Amino acid sequence: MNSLESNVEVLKNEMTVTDDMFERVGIKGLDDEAINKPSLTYWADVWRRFKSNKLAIVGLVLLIFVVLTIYIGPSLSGKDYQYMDSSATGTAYAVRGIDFYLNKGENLAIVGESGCGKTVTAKAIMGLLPKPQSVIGEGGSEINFKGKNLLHLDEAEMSKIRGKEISMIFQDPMTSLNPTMKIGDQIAESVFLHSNMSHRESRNIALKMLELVRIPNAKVRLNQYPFEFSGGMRQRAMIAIALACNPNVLIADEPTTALDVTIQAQIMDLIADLQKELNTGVILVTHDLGVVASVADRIQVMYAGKIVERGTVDEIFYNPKHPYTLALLNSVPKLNSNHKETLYSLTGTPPDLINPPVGCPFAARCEHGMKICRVKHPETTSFSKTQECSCWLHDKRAELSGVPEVLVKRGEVCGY
Amino acid sequence: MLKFIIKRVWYSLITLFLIITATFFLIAGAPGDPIAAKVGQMPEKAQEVIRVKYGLDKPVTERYFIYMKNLLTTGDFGESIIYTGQSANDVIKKNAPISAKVGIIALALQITIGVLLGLISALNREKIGDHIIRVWVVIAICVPSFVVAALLQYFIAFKWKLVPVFGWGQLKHYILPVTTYAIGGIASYTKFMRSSTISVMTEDYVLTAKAKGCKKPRVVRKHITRNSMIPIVTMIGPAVAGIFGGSFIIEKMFSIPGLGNYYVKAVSDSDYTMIIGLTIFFAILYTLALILVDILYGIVDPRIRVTES
Repeated sequence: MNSLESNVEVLKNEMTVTDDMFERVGIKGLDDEAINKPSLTYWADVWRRFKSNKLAIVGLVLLIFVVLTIYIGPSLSGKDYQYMDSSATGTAYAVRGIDFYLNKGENLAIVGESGCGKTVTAKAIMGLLPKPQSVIGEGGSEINFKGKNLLHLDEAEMSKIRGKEISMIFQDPMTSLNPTMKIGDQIAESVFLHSNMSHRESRNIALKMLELVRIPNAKVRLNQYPFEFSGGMRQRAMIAIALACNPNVLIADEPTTALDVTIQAQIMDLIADLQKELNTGVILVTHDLGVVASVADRIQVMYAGKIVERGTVDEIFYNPKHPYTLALLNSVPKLNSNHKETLYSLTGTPPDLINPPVGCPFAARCEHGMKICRVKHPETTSFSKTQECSCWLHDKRAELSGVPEVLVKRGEVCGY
Repeated sequence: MLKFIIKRVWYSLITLFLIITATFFLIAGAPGDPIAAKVGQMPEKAQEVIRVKYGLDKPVTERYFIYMKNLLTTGDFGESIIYTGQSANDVIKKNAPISAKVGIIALALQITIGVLLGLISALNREKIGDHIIRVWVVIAICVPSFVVAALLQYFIAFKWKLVPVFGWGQLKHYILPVTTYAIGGIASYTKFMRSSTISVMTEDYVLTAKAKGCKKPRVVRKHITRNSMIPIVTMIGPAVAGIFGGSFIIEKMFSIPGLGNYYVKAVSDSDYTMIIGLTIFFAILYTLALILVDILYGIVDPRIRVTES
């Protein structure tokens, strides 16, 4: 072994390979210029050759051009598409001149099929429609709230009203809550934004709100995230957010559409109870007449961006005057109906609002349509202080054979 | 949480064991002879002597057990064959911090600037600022880092003489390599952040926030940023590990005495102790980074948070 080691030693000496030879030599000791110069002249040389080579310059310009084209290309065509959207296919007139009011503490239901302009109406009140794309009115339009025209307010003033004076509940509670924020913080945020309270105080309010919307174990729930809540609980939390500042108006945009039937009833009861407790005015947007029967005070039926009929709940349910209202009522399943009957369904779909029809928008689907319906929009006929309807059937000259009696009967409320 | 970390560390240990074993046998089976690379011109017999000194005369399996015993008892990766007297540990200890300094500064810049630019780009979508950022992103992703390095060296260092062309030791030496390293990363973080922010902006909860009365800056700060950061977290794990290994080209171009150079040289010389040592080092970093990412996920997204059950 000894001889081996000495052998290695000898070999090392012969090679004069020593450990310190493998140490890194820093460049500090070397002349800076000596190192820099060759490399720089090299790059300078490359640059000079590149400058003199026209082909390389053309190549580089082409490369930049290609990169730009690939990148900007899609965005340009995107703009073209939008342009087409607004000129060739045209503007969608989602809401076409509607006029309504909401009294303090009242529950107003806006009913209609999908695509009738209900949600657009609700978002317009909140000022939540995307700004440059959507235009409200031609200047003379008004959305008056406590003597102020909301359309004339700027973003900052509007954000003071949103959540504090007018709040909104959205359709789908599964996606309407921020997944990375605690429920308590989300409720407290609206309180915090609209009052001078500290974070702690607003969280106390949030706790009270959770208890108010009947979420059991509210203290624990306050610190949970939306994914730990069921659908119905999330909608309750949404209601808590909306009502946290005790607003004057609550807009509920199809609050029960995404929920199952039993939870629907609970949520509707909750909204009705809280409305009475807090004396909040509610605008309830829905396509389901069954949902509104027990909670609404007044109902207005929207079709193709227009209000076709309005009245109190009793008037609409027992004495509908518009064929569309009647069709909506007939499509609600009834408990006492014979199970062999086919459920009534209204054929067709609402008209395309990019090219709205000239006459009555419902004419194409109406069982009692006349020639006049397709030519001229009907005048509004009023039946009582509260009920009015736009339909040619109520003209003196209308052909009434085959029209259900309930539609044409005037004055007193039927069905009592 | 503790249970989760213990579990993850245990899995990482198993992974490490497999990596070490696989690397050991792969290197042993690969062609190339470290002794020849070191002392090629020596007589056959003398080479044999050195081979015995490093234990290379023994069968592979026996060498494996000896190596594992050494590693587990002393934590020593073994003496480098090429750099006599230096163990792989020494090389890592000496050079890894240098790579890490450049890498960590660059990574921090990448994430902060990338996320910011992505947010700006998304919030000004289809406006002039967005177009400028997007064109820049494509160019920055397309152009390889050595071209960026050369251009920076030519213009900033040579033409305008603002910083040294290369070198190491002072603060001014950091500027060019860090910039080079950061540019590509900034571009990809920007791209990811932009698309994720755009998709978050159309979410219903952003509308809810507006309906609550949040003004735009608050909506962005409280409701958009955190949610759009979630995909970014995924990218951070590999990036942390890449700090040490991925910057080889940049270290070469700016003459930074970092680890990347050693890694490449070890492979070309089949300096197997160095290869395995560095591989273990990178593997440990990688698994640690992945655990870190899992924990970060929990911080950013409560839905992924680990529960005690």
